[in-house]
Amino acid sequence: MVGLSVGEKHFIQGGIAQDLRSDGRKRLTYRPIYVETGVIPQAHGSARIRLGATDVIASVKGELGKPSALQPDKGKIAIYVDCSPTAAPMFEGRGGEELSTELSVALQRCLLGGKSGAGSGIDPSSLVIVEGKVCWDLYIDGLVISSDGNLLDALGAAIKAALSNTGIPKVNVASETSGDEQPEVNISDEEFLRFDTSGIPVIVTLTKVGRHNIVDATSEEESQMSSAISISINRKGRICGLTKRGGAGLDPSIILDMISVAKHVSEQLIDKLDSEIAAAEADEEES
Amino acid sequence: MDSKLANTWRLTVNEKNFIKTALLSEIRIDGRKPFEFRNIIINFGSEDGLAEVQLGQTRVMGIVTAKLVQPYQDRPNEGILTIYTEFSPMADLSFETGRPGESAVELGRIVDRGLRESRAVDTESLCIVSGKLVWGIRIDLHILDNGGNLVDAANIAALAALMTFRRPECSLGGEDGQEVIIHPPEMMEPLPLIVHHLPIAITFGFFIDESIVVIDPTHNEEAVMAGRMIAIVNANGDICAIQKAGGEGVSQSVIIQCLQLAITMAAGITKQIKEAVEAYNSERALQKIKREPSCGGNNIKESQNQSIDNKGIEVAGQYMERLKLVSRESCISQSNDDEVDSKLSALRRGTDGNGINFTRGPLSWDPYSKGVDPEFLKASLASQGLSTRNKKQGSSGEEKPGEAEGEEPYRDANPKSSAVDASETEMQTKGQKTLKDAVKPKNKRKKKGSSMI
Amino acid sequence: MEYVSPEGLRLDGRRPMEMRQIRAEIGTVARADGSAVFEMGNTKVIAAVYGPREVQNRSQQISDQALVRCEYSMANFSTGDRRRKPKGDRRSTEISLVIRQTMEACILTHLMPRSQIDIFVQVLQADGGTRSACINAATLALADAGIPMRDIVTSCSAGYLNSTPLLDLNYIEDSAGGPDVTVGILPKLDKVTLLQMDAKLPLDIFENVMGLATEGCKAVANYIREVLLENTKQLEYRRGL
Repeated sequence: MVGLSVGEKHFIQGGIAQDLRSDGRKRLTYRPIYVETGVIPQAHGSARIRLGATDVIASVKGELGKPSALQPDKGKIAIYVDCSPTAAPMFEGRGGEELSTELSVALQRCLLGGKSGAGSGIDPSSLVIVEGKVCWDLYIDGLVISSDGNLLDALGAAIKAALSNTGIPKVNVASETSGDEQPEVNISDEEFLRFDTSGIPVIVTLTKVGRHNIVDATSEEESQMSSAISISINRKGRICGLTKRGGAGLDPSIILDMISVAKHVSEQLIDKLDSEIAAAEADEEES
Repeated sequence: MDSKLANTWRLTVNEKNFIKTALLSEIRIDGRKPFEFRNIIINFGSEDGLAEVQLGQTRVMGIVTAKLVQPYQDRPNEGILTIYTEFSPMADLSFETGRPGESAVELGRIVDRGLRESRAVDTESLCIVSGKLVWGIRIDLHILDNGGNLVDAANIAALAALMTFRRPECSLGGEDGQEVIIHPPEMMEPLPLIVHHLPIAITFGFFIDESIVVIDPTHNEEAVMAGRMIAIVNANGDICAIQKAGGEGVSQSVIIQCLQLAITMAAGITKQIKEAVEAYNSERALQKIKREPSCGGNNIKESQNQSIDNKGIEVAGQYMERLKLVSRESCISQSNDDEVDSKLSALRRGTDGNGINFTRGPLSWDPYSKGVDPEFLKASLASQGLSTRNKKQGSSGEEKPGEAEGEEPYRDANPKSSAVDASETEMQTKGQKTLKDAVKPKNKRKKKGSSMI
Repeated sequence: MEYVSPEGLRLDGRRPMEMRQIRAEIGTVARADGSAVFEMGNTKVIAAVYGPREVQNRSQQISDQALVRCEYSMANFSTGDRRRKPKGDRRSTEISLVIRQTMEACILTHLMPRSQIDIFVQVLQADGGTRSACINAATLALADAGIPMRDIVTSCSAGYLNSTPLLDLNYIEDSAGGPDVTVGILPKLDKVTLLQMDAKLPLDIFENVMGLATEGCKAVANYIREVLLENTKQLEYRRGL
């Protein structure tokens, strides 16, 4: 991104202070969200989210695998994010790796809960087929096609949409086997299990510019931030994960303040997102 | 790969214009005609599966090794063929060590496509236990000197190395028949790979003026040319692969013409490679028989007679290999085996081309290059019965003077056959150096074991 | 395996000389100077062009020409089995090289000395013919970025299975092990700029297959011209002309 001039920087900061951002939004308003589901037919579930000029695709694919020895009754979920060089030329080759890992880790923290699997947005025990032997390995892949700020929110929303679009095929276990043998499994082509995605949290990123917090920053606004907090909140208003970025120190009271603002914003976001996802799925079924 | 500015080699504007202007009158700067190949020299190494190819100034070495690996999941009955390229910085300043650059990857993939997709090497015969164990053949191509047209030279090196490679014989054994036993070469003769056909790569260079097409561009011409096309064809007239990656656009008719030209040239190069490989094979077989001089002496006479029939040295080679097995088994108990071996190898090393080494050729300065030696050789080889073989050498030695000055690239319409003969006789008559003959007793046939590097 | 049924229908119901459905869209990546999405059947590719801009690596600057760079990457979910390493493998390096050289031949690089043009191609779905889709998408993206070119480059693939030349192979037909010919042409000048082939073919059959692929390229070229014309009309309209 080309650098900003001093005049432009003042303009952005002044606008935020007056609750009027460069594109006319208020501080706590999201850009219009466009959701498209089923964009990748080969995957079990997929979705594409456009948040202004930010464009991300998320896909969910399940493969049969063996559960880990420590948690034989749970399936495995992995989240990977890849930044495509089409989003920015600096993502060419290994350039986008740093950002990709940061986003992957943040998403894992927000959506997958702790090491024991507790508090996860998706229940891993629903992924197990034969305890201790066969389970689903869920791979969630995010791809950033175009980047104009607020990637984490967009990816979170995309993953939520993709998961609600996901149909994991039903598996019939062929026969009872004992010992260490791998049981025979038939993957049916007809029946699908759908996830209950009402428990999946959304991520709200609050960016602090000057003394005010804005939601859904564009990349120009992000370049002016002093710090940012990404909070994942679920429908019940519970906080599922928290990430703070940026080098500036924040007073704890300010953080609590930001959290309450985020909770307030998240309710609207969840409603909006759910309705968009439903509309997108209806569109997909029609077409 | 970001190459440093200091390492890129650039031609001056003057040189580029010179090359282009010369090409307009169909003259190339090394004196060749536009559709002439440079001189190809194929040398083999001391081991099986090692070949070094010189194409003018370009030198490429190909090494083939084999290992037991697991097959790919979607092809459980087939062996695996992989190609690795190494662009050594000594070949060209712009090559860097470490990860292969774009051109290295491209070269590897082109040679790979030519060999694998066209099924030149039979991979199904490399399967040992279906789904579990197969032979993985690895071809390493080392670029030693970049004089232009690396793809063609690398391809020939890969083919020559593949054809002379021998993989160890293995069989299933063990308690449940699942264990694989690899037999060392001393126990059982290693097997060659089955090569159905030889895909030959021919590079065409296109210049800005579309009517100019050259074959086998040199390093300088590569810097000037606007586009290139690599056609991999075999002597049967099949096209195995084509790679024209961008560059100057050419019309379809030009492409078809180039392909037809490639097919005609491929026949000659195929012949040259086959002859070089056969020469190596027979020499190798003779070397093995040499280790058991008492056992195989008389039989070799008959085999040599056979070879005169021009059935190709292949027949003789196979016969000799079978003989070798027979003689091995019968002579295994000989206690002075090792003694004989070490003596022979010492003598071998000591002499260079002494005795009749029918894979040597005369040097152009050799006063005896006219083949004066037949009688002399007959007398000295009486015990080995290689006299008939010498006659063939003698006759080829006589035609050699005509081609003695064959260091220069051949120019006629039938360039390939004469070049092939020249290189073959070059290899053959080196053994006729009489200086060393004078020193060493003639009875000891110092067959040079290792080849002409 | 039967790739062409006795009635002359392929596995997906097409005729041997029929191409898959193509769809193109310009301007999808807002931040790029030019971008396009190109779909050929189930193969979906995004191309983004950044440039002409200042050369990032001074040592690579060319004083009388623009430097063209290209990177080809496949998304993790683009193929049936999930890929572990989307970039940097040998196939991607080769295809990046091929696309770069193809586009370099048609861009008027001497008009933009000391600058750099980056072409990034991302495969979202791979179902055979990815190379061709990438080149077509790159052409559209370059046109969207307003970079001067000699002619558009269009590309199409063709094969030969069950003794029939087939146009525009999909993944199943491609992995059948038969010959695969990819052709890229400059339609107005009627010159072949990209030609890749693997597996064995006799010369006369090859001529046939290459001719078929060239026809496919011309059809794609017509479609691309329509899309570009439509796009220009839209731009005019938005500017109120």
